[in-house]
Formats: sequence, structure tokens, C-alpha cells
Amino acid sequence: MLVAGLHESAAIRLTLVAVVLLAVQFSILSELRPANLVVDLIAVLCAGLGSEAGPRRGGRAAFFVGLAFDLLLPTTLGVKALTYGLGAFAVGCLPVERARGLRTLTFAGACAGMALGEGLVAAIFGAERAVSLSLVGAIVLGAVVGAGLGPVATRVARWTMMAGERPRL
Amino acid sequence: MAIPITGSKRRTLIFMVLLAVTFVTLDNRQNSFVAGIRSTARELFNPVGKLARGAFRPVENTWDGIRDYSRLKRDFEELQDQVGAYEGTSIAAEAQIRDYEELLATNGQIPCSAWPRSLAQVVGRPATNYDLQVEINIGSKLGIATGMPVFTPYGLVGRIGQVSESRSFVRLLYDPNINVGVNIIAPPSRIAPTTTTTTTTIAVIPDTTLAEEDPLTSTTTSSTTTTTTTTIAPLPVPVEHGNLRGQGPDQPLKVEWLSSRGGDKVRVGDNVRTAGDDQSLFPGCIPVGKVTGVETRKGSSQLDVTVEPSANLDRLNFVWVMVYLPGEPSTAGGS
Repeated sequence: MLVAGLHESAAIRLTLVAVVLLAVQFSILSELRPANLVVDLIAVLCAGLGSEAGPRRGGRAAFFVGLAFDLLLPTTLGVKALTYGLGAFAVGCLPVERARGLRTLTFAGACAGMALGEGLVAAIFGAERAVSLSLVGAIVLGAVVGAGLGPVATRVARWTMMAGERPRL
Repeated sequence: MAIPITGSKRRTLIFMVLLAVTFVTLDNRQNSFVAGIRSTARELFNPVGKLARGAFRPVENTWDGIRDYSRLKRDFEELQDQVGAYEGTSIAAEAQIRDYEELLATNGQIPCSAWPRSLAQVVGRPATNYDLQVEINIGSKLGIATGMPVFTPYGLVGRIGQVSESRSFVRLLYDPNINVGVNIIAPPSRIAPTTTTTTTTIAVIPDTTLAEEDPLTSTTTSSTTTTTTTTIAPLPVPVEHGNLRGQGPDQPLKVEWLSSRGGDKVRVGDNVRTAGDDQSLFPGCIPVGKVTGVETRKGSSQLDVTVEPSANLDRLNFVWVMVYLPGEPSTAGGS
């Protein structure tokens, strides 16, 4: 099972959060396009999952969320899953003490990295023009959104993965 | 400081990468099981998405109002003027379209109206930054299939990508993966009208029977000359044939592999229309746009022709899907 290692209630909450955020992503965020770019809310959540649940559980949970996103998109299946999974894994690997002090920077870097990674992975798997000038805009936007929504994503991820357990931070 | 990745972490990492590569491989091979799962997932998510779109509609409208109010107001006023002007000419235009389609039929070409079409509404824009597809609200249940052309009254929009039961994705024209065979057509104003002068001489032959009877009667021959000058209105003639390709959003379309090298035939302002060759992905009747630039490629005599699409690809609402697949016979009459 993709979300193996998650408590049953955590898996249900993760599914619920994923569905709600995907609904937001596919409705309002795909319409409100600052500079013709899309705000990636799911990437912020995945950074939060990595930060709160660590590389193994957070990575798997983010992979699951990315796969759900992939299923609804017309693009190559697995690109989002891989990007978010690796992004959450990387955030989870960061030492907690360092991440606590530089949480905003961590989220900004993670979301920017996921935007870059997504473009690169998509280009590797055949999406033409995935690596273009607009990718720079997507990276900058990812960093801004990650920095701004990082605290909220942390709370949501904590509720999703850690409720009823001792918080990691 | 190096971050240690221990055995269990490494296993998770390898597991994720291998699983993702498996999904990518299956998807690229167009595995029917994966396609079925995606189609089911979209159908299940459809009500949630619809609910969310309805709930967030006021926010979207407010955002559009803040961002685009003055432009929308100006556009509205301009459109009102245009509607008034178009109403007057629409009847004449319809008659001309009918004449044109009859002319196409006479020349063995199939007019656009020969294929049935389905009206659809755009319900979703790209949800990621590198995806160039919009979602429409009709799918395989209404006979929609991958590859069918999508257009608006202004021109070609793209073609159908993935299809589920009640939803389809449309690959927009500026997607670099789309190739369209096109004809570049000079507008009538650039083609000189054809003038034909016909001179007819009618000779009046004398009655020879009289001469035979009376050899002394002189015979005279007279003739009448009639000159008729006919001016024929110019017909749109393709001046070039090439392959149209997208270059990503906010970039003009590009025509490559023109049928003749170099050339003074293509000019800015020329019309571009689908070519509709045998087995072409698009029938040969859909307007695509206008030529906005013609440059000779450095170190080559090949031309680089850029085209502005006539349909507004950034603001799509209602579109038509033509039930056309290459090589399949048309059904007379539209739906």
C-alpha cells in the first residue's frame, strides 16, 4: 500500500485533505493565474508532510497525494508523484533544529525546488517546453507561496499525520 | 553537513522512484488499465470539482473584476459596436459561405458542414504550469474521441487529447506537440482580378446561289466584331503549404517546412487555414489565423513564418468539437 505505515485515521485524513486541496487547485487556483502561472498549493502541503512526518512517512504520503493529482491531470502519470515524493523526502531529511529556525526559508526552497524538479522531470519524460522562461516564474512563485503558506501547511500536515501522537516538533 | 540516508530511508527513496518510473512507462505505453483508472478517477472527482468551481465562482469573478475591469468595459463597448456592424453583413456572409461550400463540393472537396459537431463548454484551465490543455464538459458518451478538431467561430483551437466518459482534454494550438498541415492563403485584396477579353468576329457570307445564277452579280463579304470584357472576382488561392507548430503559451505559432523555399509569396496579413490533405488530422476548412511575421532563417533560404491564432486561446468558453477522424467518411448535415 502506498501509504503503508500510516495509521488508518491518518490515511483517511490524508485522503480528505488531498481531495479538498485538489478541488481548490482545480477550481480557483487554475483560474486565478498571477502572471499566467498557477499557484501550486499541493506542493506546499507536501513540503509540510515531509517536515512533519519525516522522510519515510512524509515522502510516501506526498507521493500518494502527487499520484492523486497525476490521475486527474492530462499529463504523464507519475511526474507529480515523483516530484512531490522526493521533495517531501528531502524536507524530511533536513535536521529538525535547522528547519525550526529557518522554517520559512525551508518551505520557500522546497516549493521552488519542487517547481524546478517538476519541470525537469516533465521534460525528461517528454513534455516539450517544460523547461522554458516560464519555469523561472514558476520557481519564484513557488518560493513566494511556500514562504507565505508554510505555517498553514505545517498545521494542516501536523493535523493530518500526527493527531493523537506526540508532535515531532 | 552531509545528511545520512539510512537503509530504511534509502528503501523508501528507491521504492518511490521505481514506482514513479513504472507509472510513467505504463502511461507512455498507453496502457488500457492505467487509462481506465485515470478515467474513473476523473469521473469520481467530477462532482467535487464542479462543487468547488461553483463555490469559488464569486471569488473568481471578483478577481477578474479587480484585474480586468477597465479592459472588460472597453472590450464590451467595442463588441457592442461590432455586433451592430456584423448583424448587417451576416446574411450576406451566410449566402457566401453556402456558395463557397457548393464550390468546394463541385471541386470534390468536403466542406466543414459535412461533419457533425458537438458544442462544449470549457470547464477547467490547466492546473499546472507546464500543462497546455483545457478541460471540456463532453466526453466519449457523446462520441468524442482523441484527435478530433476543436474550434470556435473564430478559428481552430486545438484537438482532443485524453477522453473520459463525460470529460475531455483539449490540446491547445500553442502546444508544441500539435502539428497542423496548413495553407497560407493570400487575401482577395492581394490577388489582381482576372480580366478576360473575348473578341468575336462574325463573318457574313454572301448568298452564293444568286452568284451562281447570275455571274455578273458582284459578291461582297462583311463581318461584325464584338469585344466582351469580363472581370472575375479573385478566388482565395493557397500561396504556400506548410506545417504549423506551437511554441508554448504567449508565443506565436510557427509555420515550418514550407512547400517552396525562400519566396516573396507569403506576406504579413495572409490568412492561414487548415490544409486538409489526405489522412490529415484536420479537415481543410478551418481558419487558423493570420501571418504576423515572415523572416528568412539565417544561413538558409527557408522562411520562418509566425502566425497569430484567430481564436483567443486564453479566453475560451464555448467551443465546437468536430466529429472528424482522418480517413473516415463524413456524415452529411451537422448536428
